[in-house]
Amino acid sequence: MESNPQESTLFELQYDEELKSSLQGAAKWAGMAALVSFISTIIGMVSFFIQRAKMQAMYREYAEYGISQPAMNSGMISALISFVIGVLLFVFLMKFSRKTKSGLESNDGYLLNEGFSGLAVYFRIIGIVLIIAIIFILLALLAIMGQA
Amino acid sequence: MDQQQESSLFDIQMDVDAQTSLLSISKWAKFVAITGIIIGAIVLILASAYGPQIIQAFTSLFSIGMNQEEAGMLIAILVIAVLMVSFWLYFLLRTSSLLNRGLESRSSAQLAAGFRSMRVYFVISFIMSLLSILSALSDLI
Repeated sequence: MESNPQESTLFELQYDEELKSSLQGAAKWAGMAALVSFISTIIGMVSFFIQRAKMQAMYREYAEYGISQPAMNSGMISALISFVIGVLLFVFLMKFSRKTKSGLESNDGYLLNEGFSGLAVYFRIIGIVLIIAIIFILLALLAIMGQA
Repeated sequence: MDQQQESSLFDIQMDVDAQTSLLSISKWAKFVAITGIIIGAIVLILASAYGPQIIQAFTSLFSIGMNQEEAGMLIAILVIAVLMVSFWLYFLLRTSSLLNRGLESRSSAQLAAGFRSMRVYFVISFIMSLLSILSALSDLI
């Protein structure tokens, strides 16, 4: 079987000491960023529920003056979506950090590949979320322009 | 001994799967960085176009008890936030470009530079998340 020239040149790249060291640094900071970001997501969620409870209590007080409580379901849905995205980002960034670090320690190419695939999914999630956000913003702008 | 050390340093090769993942990382990182830069630019253009209204909003903030020192601090925080996000996106774009060039030229030195840029990107992400925690906690207390 004839060897594919592109494939043979692809195999030329190696993990030298400089690459290993920079990869180790990126993996270490990715893990720390993932952890802090996850804590931030949880605190954000707790903060949301506390503020929501405060608002509900306030509107219960105002109910006797005829002020009705606005719908809070949309806020709840967006908070839950943010939480799910936060958890997914944490999982895949942590996967990159852990697998890459252990791959470098044990010189295991398979673990390094697993780490890279985690990081690829992490950036893909951010990209897809950005695309969805842009679509929603454009739809909102169109709706505003339609009303004007 | 030197020979043993040298061989242990060069014993893993980057296979096609790893390179495919790195290429995907590079492409998505570029998309995220460029989209972020465009959104940031639009926000800055709108902010400068509606400058008088923003100043008016600040003036109304003064009237509800915010003094000049506090307003100055708010502006300083906004400037720092803009700078931080700019650096964040710059390092993401640099990461993408270096990873791509490293893969194209099969240069591990460029890939290493890409991962060093990525480390800075994650350091800034870490700082921003930490600030967001502090902000959320100050709201709760």
